[in-house]
Amino acid sequence: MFPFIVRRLATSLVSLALAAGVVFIAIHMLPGDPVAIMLGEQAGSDPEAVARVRAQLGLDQPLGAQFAHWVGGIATGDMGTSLRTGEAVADELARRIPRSLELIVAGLCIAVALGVPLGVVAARERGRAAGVAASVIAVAGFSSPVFVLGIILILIFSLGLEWLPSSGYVPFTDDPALHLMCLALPALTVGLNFMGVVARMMRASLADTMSKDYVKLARAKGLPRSSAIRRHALPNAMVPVVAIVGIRAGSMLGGTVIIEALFDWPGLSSLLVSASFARDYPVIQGCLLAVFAIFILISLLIDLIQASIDPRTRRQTS
Amino acid sequence: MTKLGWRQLAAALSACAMLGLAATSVSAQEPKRGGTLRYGTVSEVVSLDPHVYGGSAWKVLIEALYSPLVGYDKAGQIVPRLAQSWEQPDARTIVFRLRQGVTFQDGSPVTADDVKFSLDRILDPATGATLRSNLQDATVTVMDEQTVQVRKASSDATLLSVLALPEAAIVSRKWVESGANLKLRANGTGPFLLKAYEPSVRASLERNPKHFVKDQPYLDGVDFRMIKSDDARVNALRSQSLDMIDFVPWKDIDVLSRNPAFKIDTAGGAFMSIWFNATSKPFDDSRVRRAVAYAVDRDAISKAAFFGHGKAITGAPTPEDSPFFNADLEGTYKRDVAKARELLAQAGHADGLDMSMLVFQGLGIYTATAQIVQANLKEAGISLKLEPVEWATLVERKNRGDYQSMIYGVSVKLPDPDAYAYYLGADSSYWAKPIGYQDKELETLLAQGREQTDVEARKPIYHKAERHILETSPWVFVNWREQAQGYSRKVHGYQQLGGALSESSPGISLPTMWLD
Repeated sequence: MFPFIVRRLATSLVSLALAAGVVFIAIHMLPGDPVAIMLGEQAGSDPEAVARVRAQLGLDQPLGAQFAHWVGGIATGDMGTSLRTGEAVADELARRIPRSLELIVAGLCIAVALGVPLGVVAARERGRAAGVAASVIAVAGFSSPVFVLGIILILIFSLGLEWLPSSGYVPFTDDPALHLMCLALPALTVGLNFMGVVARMMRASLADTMSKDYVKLARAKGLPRSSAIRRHALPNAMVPVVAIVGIRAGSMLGGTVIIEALFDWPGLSSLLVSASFARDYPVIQGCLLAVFAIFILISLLIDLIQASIDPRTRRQTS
Repeated sequence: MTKLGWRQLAAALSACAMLGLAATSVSAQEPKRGGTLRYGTVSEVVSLDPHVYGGSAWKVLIEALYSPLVGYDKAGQIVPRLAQSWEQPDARTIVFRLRQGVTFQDGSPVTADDVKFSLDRILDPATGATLRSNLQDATVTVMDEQTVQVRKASSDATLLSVLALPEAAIVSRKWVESGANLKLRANGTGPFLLKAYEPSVRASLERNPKHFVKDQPYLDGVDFRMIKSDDARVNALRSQSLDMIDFVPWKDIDVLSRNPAFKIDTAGGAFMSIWFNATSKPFDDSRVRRAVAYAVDRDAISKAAFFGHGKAITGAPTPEDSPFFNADLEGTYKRDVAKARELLAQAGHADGLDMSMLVFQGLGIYTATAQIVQANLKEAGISLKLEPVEWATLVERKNRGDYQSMIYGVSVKLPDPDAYAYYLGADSSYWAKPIGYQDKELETLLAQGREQTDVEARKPIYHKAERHILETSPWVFVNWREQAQGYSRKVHGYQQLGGALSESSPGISLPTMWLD
């Protein structure tokens, strides 16, 4: 197991370094000048002021030197300073990433809590009313876009019933109850949307597993259908579901733009979007690097989880 | 006719409603102390540097945290702030006498030296200050501890109104020179103090108990929440998570106005225009530009792109309540396709013309306006190619002069007609400088207007300048767009101003706003 982790970590670092280089080149190739935007239309169109501020921020240096400076900084744990806000990028990330993770984890928990039972029902009750109903719910979940789903939830729970705030973010330390109330709708939107995918995956995987010989054997030796599913089919059927949940978690970092905008949830995605529009290079670089790093970390974790569920994975990859 | 009838009916109804409200609210007019106003803003504040303009929410926040020497009151008049009095010995000099005993948030006293330091900081190109070009050639002299003189190289009628803008805030020399991060922290003299701030997310303000205006502000605090999404902002107001929002989306103005729980105040503070690259073909010919001016259907744009909350500009873009407004110019450009075709033919484009237009793709008001313009121009024989771009690209291409034409929303820069020097003046890099545009006659008129301080003497100069601008049409003025603030009925004391003070209105009103 140990050499497996080491090898995975080494390849992860190489892909991270490659990603950093690509990100740096790509965002500096975009048209647009961060200083002209930052100074606003009055001073931003004054060439002298723009030149002086660019020099101050080190943007007049050749790209190679800027890249070396940035990489050198990262090596010493300094991710640079936001051009717009004057705040350390690491501080901004440290504030934003936990909020994004919180939203994603809450959403995925909802998706798994609802999607797995739904998928099991759909697989067990195939061809019967309950199974069809479960499938319909699953399809409805993943085929309704998040902005539609989100607005419906806002209409029902905040404008209609007035149970939950329609949007916003309150730090947990300020007011724990209000914090969770603000989290509820965006997490539900993420969860309901992804629930469908989990359910479909679960159904297909379980149906497949149930036709395997070892499940038939379990049934043949007298186990009731429900325990055969619970003890033999389900753990095996979970492997692809875990994989898809993990991949989704990774891609959702920096990918929940619409949900964050709709619910005014200040996570990593909204930072990335607003930094991109303003060409705040250090922040864009920091965000993307963080997304890559977390993505790689998650896929590493998934491999480990899968390896512990299914020893064959461990043997194949090591 | 039916439409007129409907409008009159609506006006009569709203008048009745207002009378009714006035009657019920008379008893509740006594301001109450306390409470926190929760304010949702469309623009994200990313920097608290008081000298670098950063959007409408920034302006309100800076006005709450800092004070300039003078400021504007709810009637748009210039009133004392850090200066208790001032005199103008001549048309290029102002001497300010500071209030005694005013301190910054950190407790240090405000001195004439801080005033000099602040204005010099604005003049330093490395600051990138918004008012640098307005204050260019100004020298600031400390006369004594409480007296400071600001002198321009030549007569400048706009000096006092520029120094009254929030961007002319006074900062502490000691604090800035100690290496403070002005983008992240604040140390001002305004009615409120900065309690907590997260860039582009929120800012919490608390009452400044030592504010130099006695008994103000009435509120205990203000919570700014920056909510870019229009729907999220409106929903937060509706569900009472917020007390007030800015930039009520045009599509929601009517719906919210009909709801008795809310009040919507609108004023024209910005206008839409079409900018030409007036130094290269085909738009170096004023006949082609005027053809566009005749072809555009301003009413259709006001109706379709602004849901009826826009007002056609058929003359010059001077607000109606300005003493410089010239009613004679109204109706100069109304839709006249035949005339447009005639002008195009004169300019040698009888068999049609191809042109392109940069359009900011991020806002419906821009894209809808562009599409209507495209249809309008087609009728006049111009085939318009729209180039949708994001803001950063638009800014870069504008500053490079790399465009044929573009749609641009212009907020009124100054409560003074010298704003034209900023819009169209050859020295201004806003529009003219990057394309090398220079109009000698206009330059002369604008210089004359700046040197006169007497309003009556300035009026004929600017009327002449406006007539000249319309005749040459370097820009086509399309319509005023209403900017709306929406708030719950428990919010009192808000006054919406128009023109250049439209964006500042919440900042000007904040110290005397209160909650029921």
